[in-house]
Amino acid sequence: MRPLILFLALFLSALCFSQAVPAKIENIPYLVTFGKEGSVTWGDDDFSQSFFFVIPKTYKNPIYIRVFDPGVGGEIDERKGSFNSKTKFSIYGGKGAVTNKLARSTKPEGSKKTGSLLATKTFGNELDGQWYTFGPFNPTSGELAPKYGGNVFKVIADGISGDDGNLYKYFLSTSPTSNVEVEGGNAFTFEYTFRMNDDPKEVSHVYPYIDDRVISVKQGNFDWDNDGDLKIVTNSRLAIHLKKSGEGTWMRSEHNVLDKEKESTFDVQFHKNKSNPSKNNNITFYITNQYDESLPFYTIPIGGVPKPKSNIILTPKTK
Amino acid sequence: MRLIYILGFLLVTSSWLFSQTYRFNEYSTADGIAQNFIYSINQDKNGFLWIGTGEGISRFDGKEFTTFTTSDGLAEDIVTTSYIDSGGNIWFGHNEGSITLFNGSGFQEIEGPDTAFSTIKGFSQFNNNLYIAAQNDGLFTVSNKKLEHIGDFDRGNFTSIQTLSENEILMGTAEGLIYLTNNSGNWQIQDEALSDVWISDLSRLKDSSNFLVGTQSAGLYQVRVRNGLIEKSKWDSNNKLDELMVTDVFQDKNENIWLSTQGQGIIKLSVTESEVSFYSTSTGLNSNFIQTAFDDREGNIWIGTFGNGLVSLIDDLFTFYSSDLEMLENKSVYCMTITNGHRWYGTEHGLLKIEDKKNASTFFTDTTSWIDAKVSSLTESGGYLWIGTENQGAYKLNIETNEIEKLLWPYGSLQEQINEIVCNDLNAYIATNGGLIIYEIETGEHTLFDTEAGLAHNAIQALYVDDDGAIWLGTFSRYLYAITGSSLEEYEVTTFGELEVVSIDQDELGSIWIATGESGVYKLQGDQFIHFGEKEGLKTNYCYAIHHDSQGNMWVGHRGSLSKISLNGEKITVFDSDDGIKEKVNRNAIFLDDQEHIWFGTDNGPIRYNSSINKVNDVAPVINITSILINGESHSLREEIELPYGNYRVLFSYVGIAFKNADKVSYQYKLNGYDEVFSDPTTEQTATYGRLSDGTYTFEVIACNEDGYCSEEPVKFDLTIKAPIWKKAWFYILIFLALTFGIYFFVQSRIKRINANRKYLKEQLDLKTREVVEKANQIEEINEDLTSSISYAKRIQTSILPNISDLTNLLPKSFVYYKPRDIVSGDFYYIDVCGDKLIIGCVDCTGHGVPGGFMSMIGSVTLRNIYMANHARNIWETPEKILEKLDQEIEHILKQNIKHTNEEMDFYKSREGMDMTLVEIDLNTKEVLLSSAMRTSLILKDGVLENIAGTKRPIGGGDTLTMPFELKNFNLKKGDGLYLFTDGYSDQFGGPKGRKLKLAGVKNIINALSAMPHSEHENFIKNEFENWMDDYPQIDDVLFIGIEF
Repeated sequence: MRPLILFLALFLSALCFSQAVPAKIENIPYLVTFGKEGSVTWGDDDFSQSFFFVIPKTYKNPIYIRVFDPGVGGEIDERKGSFNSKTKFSIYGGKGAVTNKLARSTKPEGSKKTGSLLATKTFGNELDGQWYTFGPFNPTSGELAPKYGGNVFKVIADGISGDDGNLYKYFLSTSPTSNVEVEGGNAFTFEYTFRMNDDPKEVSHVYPYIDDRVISVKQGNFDWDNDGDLKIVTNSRLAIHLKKSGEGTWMRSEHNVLDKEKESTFDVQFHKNKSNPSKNNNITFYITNQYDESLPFYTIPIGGVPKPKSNIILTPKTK
Repeated sequence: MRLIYILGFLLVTSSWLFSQTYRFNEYSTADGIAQNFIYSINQDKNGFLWIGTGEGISRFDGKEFTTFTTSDGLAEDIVTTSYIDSGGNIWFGHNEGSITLFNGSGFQEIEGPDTAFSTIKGFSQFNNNLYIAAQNDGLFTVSNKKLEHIGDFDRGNFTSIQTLSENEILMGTAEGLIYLTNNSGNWQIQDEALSDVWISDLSRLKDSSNFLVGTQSAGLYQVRVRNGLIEKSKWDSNNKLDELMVTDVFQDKNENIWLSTQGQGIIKLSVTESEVSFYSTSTGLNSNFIQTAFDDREGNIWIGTFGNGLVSLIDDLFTFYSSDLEMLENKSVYCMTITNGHRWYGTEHGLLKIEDKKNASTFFTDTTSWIDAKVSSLTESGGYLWIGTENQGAYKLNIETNEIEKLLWPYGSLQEQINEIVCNDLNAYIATNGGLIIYEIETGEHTLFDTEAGLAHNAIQALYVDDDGAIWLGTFSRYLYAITGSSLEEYEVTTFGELEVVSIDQDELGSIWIATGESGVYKLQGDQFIHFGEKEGLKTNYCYAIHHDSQGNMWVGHRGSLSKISLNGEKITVFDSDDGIKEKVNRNAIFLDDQEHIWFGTDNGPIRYNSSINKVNDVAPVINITSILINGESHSLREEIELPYGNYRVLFSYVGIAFKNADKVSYQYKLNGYDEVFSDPTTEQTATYGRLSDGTYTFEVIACNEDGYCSEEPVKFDLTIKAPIWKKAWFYILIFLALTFGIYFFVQSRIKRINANRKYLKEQLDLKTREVVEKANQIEEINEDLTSSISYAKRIQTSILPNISDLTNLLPKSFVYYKPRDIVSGDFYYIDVCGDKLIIGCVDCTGHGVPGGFMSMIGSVTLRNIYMANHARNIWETPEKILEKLDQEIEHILKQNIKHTNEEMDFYKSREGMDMTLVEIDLNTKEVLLSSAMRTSLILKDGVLENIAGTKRPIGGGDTLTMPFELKNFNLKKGDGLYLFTDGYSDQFGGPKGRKLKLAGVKNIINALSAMPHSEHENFIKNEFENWMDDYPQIDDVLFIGIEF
C-alpha cells in the first residue's frame, strides 16, 4: 500500500500545483532574470528566460498568464546597488513560438522571440509581491504543437535594463484575478535559470523528459558555485552524478541513456552543501540530447517522478 | 514633432461616476458563433456581418450564424483581421500569416511568391493597391492575387496599417508609428513618431485625412502627415485614457469614437455631447476584454470580446439606473425629478437623492429625521421639492437646506393619500383620494374640491395643469374633468363603462392625452376623443404613465414595455424585451428632464430614454435570398436554375438583414409568372410554391424595417422549368411534319397495299377463275356426261313410257300433259289395254330428276309386271288390289319391308315411294274403277266437277299404314271427264302473288275446258300452267291426264 499512497500523493501534488512555475514539486523558490547590465557571474548567462505553457487542444476558454512580482524592487528581488532594472515580459503564440529551433535554443545568442507577439509589458520597480495578469488569450492563438501536448504559449522575460535580479513566478490560470489552473495544462522550458533555496536541507528538482530518440544526454550547469551535489535520478539508476560548475562558469558532462530510461523523465536534483552553503545562489541549467537538441523540463514530470527500483527491503518491526 | 492643435474635448466628471447600465445582446458559441474569441467584425455589401474568430469565420444575418473554416477553404481557422475592399471582396488575415480572399462565391487562399509567417494585423487599400501588415514580417502587397513582400524596415511587431495615398503608408508597431513612402518602388521610412509606444490600432477619422492612434497605456492620439512629417496631438482628456490598453479604435457614423480596451471594456467618446460613456462589466457588458468593435450600416455597435463572444449594444436610447438604488432592498421608483443635476426618487420607504458630482446619495426616511413613507409624487417649484406620500400626506422639502415641512389641512385620512402634486407659481394642486386640494404656496391656505363641486369621484388619480391654466383631473369614471377659472367642464371619454385615468399629459400641439388602467390611451382632439389601444398598435391596453417627448411623440409606460405614439397617431412603436425593456413602469412614474430625457420609474429603478438620439431607422434592410429548396433539395444560388419539365415544390428562403429589431423586418414577395401581385407583408422568411409547372419564373422579394423603410429594389432570382416537348414549337412542327409524312406514308402504304391486294386478288381471281374454268370445264364435262347420261336415261325412261296414242285411240278427246322438271322425271303415266279394259295410271314418285327417274322406272316396270303376272295367271284385279300389290312390290324391291335391328341402318333405309291414281275403264260400259294412293282426282260428270279423294296411303315408302286402298266406281258417259294429275301441277308457285295453284286453281282450269273444243284442252292445260308459273321455276315434275268421253 505504501508505494501506492506515495504515488497518489505525488500525483495529486503535481495536479494541485501543476501550472505554477516553478512548481511546488520542483522546490524552486523563484525564476530569476537579471538586467542586461548585470554580470553573468551572478547566475544568469543571457539575461533572458523563456518558458512555455501548454494548453490542451480541447480547452476553449480564455487563459491568463500571471506573473508574480514582475517588477524589480522590494524584498524578493536581488538588488545590486539601488534598483534600476526593468524586465520586459512578452507573450508569444502562433507559428514558430516553440517549433522554431531558435525558440528552443539554450545559447545566449540568437533571438528566441519567434512566433507572434500577443502581449508585452515592461516592469520597473513596481508590483512588488503582486500578481500581474496577461490575457485573456485565446488558447488557439498559441502554437498548436502536438509534440508538446497542445497549444503552446511562450513567455520571455528579458532583463532589458539595469543589473538587478528579478525574481518572479508564473501561473497559467483560467482567471484574471486568481490562480485557477487550466485543467490538463502544463509548462516547460529548455533552460532553467532559477534561484536556489538558501536552506541546505532543501533539494531542488527539474524534470527533463527523455524521448525515444535520446541515446545520451549532455547537461550544462552555470554558476553552481560548487554549492553541493548535482545528480540525476532515473527510473533505473539511483544517481548519475554531474560535473559541477563554479562561479560564473559553465560545466558540461555527457551521460548515456539506458533503453529502459527512454520515454521517461529524469529527476535532476540540486543538493546544496550542508556546510557553508551559498546564499542567493542562482543557477542556469539545461540538458540536450546527443544532437545538441534541448530537452524540455516539464513542471509536471511526464510519467511522474522517476523512482528506481530499490534494493532496500522494509521489514516490519517485531516485538 | 509639432503639436498642431488640441481638441477641446472635455470629459464630464460626473459621467465617470454614473453607475447607469446598458442593455446588450450577447451571442456566444451557444448561439452558433464559431468561437467566443472575436478578432474582427465586418459587414459586406449584402448586409451580412463577418465575424473573425479563433476557430473560423461566422457569418451573421441577424438571426443565424453560419460558420466557415478551413474545411470550407479558409487558409487558417484563426482569423485575426478582415477587410472589405472597394470591389466588395472580403480579405481575411490569419494568425500564422495566411490570407484568404472571399469573392462572394468562395474562399481562396492568397499565395506567394512571398510568404508571411506571422500574424496578419491589418489591411488597407488605396485605389486598387492593397497593403498588408504582418506582425513580424512587415509590409506586403497583393498584386494579381499574389502576395509580395515589400519590406520590414528593420522593425518588428507591426500592429496596424493605414494608407494615405498611393505612395504613403502609416504603420503602427509595438515601438511606435512609422511613416513610409514609396520612391520608385523603394519603400522606406520617411518619419516616425511615438517611439516606444505600442501602437495598437490606426483608424481614419471621418471625412478627414487625420488618423486616430490607439495605444497601449499611452493614451489616444490624433495624427496626420504634412510635408512629409508626422504631426501628432494627444487627445486632451483626463489621464484616465493613458491607462487604457487600447486594442481597437474607430469613429462611428455619428462621429463618436470608440475605444476597445483590454480590461476596461469599450469606451465611447461623444464629440458632440462632450461625454464619455463606459461600457464594461459594471455597466452591463459581459466582458472587459474587447478585441474589436464595429458600427454596421444601421449604426448598431458590435463589440467583439475576447472570450465572451459577440455583443451588440442595443442602441443606448435607454440607460438603466437601477444601481442608483443599490443600497435599497426595494428598487421600485414611483416618481422622480431632477433638481440642479440631482436625481430625486420616490421609493417604497422614503425619498432618495443622488448627487453625481459628489458621488453621494441621501435617503430620507424614518431613520434620517423624516418618515417611512411610500413617496407617490414629486415636483419641484420655488426652491422646494413638493412631496406626496401614499398615505401620510404632502410635504415640501427645501432643496438647499433639506428641511422638510408637512403641509397641513384639516381634512380626513383620504386627503392624506396623495396621488399627484402639480405646482405653478401660485398654487400647489394636490390630487388625493379625497378630492383635489388647491394649496396657496404663499399663504398656505387651501381649498378642497370634491364630489360636492361636481366631480364624479373623489379619488383624483391623475392631475395636470395645462398651458392655459386649466386643471385636468382624472378619476374612477368615464369622465375627464377640467377646471377652468371657476367652472368645471366634464368630458365624457367613453359612452359606456368606467375608466381608471392614471396619467394625464398635454402634447406640444396642445392636445390632452390620458392613459387609462385597462383601456389604453385617449387623445382629446377638439371635442372628440381618439382612442389608441392594442388594435392600433399599443403594446397593451394596460397603461400606467404617459408623457410627451421633444421629438413629437407621446410615451406610454406598461409593465415590461413602452409604447411610443407619434402625435399624429400614424405610428406606434413598441419597446419591449427585444429592446432591453423588462421593467414594470409604475403608476404615473414618468418625468421629462431639462435635457429632453424621459425618465420612467420602474420596479427596478429608473430608466432614462435619450430622445435626442432616437431617430427613425431609415436604413432599409439588405435583402438576400439565402436558399432555394426544390423538392426538398438545395440548389445553388449562383446561377439561374433551369429544371426539366415536371411539377416542383419550391421553397425560397430569404433574409432582410437589419440588425435593429431584426425580428420586426417584414417581407413582401412575388413570383413573376405565378403571382399577380406582391404578397401581403409577412415576417416569415420563406415562400413556398406547391406545384410549379413549366414556365419562366422570377422570384422577387423586398424587405422593410420596423420603420417602414424598404429595400429600393427587390432581390430577384430566375427559375425556369422547361416546357414539355409537346408545348414546344419545334414539337408542333415536328408533329405536323410527322402527321403529314405519316398521312402521306399511310396513304402510300394503303395504295401500295391496295395495289398489292388488288394484284393479289387479281392473281387469286385469275387463279380461281382458272380453277373455276377448269372446274367448270370439268363440271361441264361431268354435266355433259351426266346430261348425256341422263338424256340417255331419259331415252330409256321415255322408251318405257306407254304410247299416249294408246289412250287417244280409245278415247280421242283425252290427252296427256307431261312436263318433267329435269331431263328425267319422277312422274310417269301408265297406259295399258287389256281386252276391253283400259288401264291408266298417273304416278308421282318421290323426288324428281334422276332419283325420281329411278323410282318411275321401278314403279313403271313393277306396275307392268303386276299386270303381266296377273295376265299370265289369268287373274284380273281391280285398281285397289293392284295398288296393294304395287305397294308390296315396291317395298320389297326397295327393302322397305325389312325391319332392321340396327337403328342406323333402319334410319338410312330407303323411304322412297310414290303417289298415284290408277283407273280402270271398261271400254264397253264406260264404267270407271278408280283407286288412289294419296292423290286427289277430279271427275266431271254431268257438268259437275267433283273431287275424288285418294286413300291416305302412299305406295312404298316403308310406312306402316295398312288401311286398304279404296276403290271408287263411276259410270261415265259422253261429255264426262276424269282428270288425273300429280302435285307438280297444283303445287306450282306462280300467279300474281306467287302462291300455289292449289286444287281450286286446277278445278277452275278444268271448268274452263268446257267452253272450248277438246282439241285445245291439252294446250289449255299446258298454257294455263305455264302462264301461272310465269317466271317462277318449276318446282316438280308435272303430269296431267285428261280422260274425256
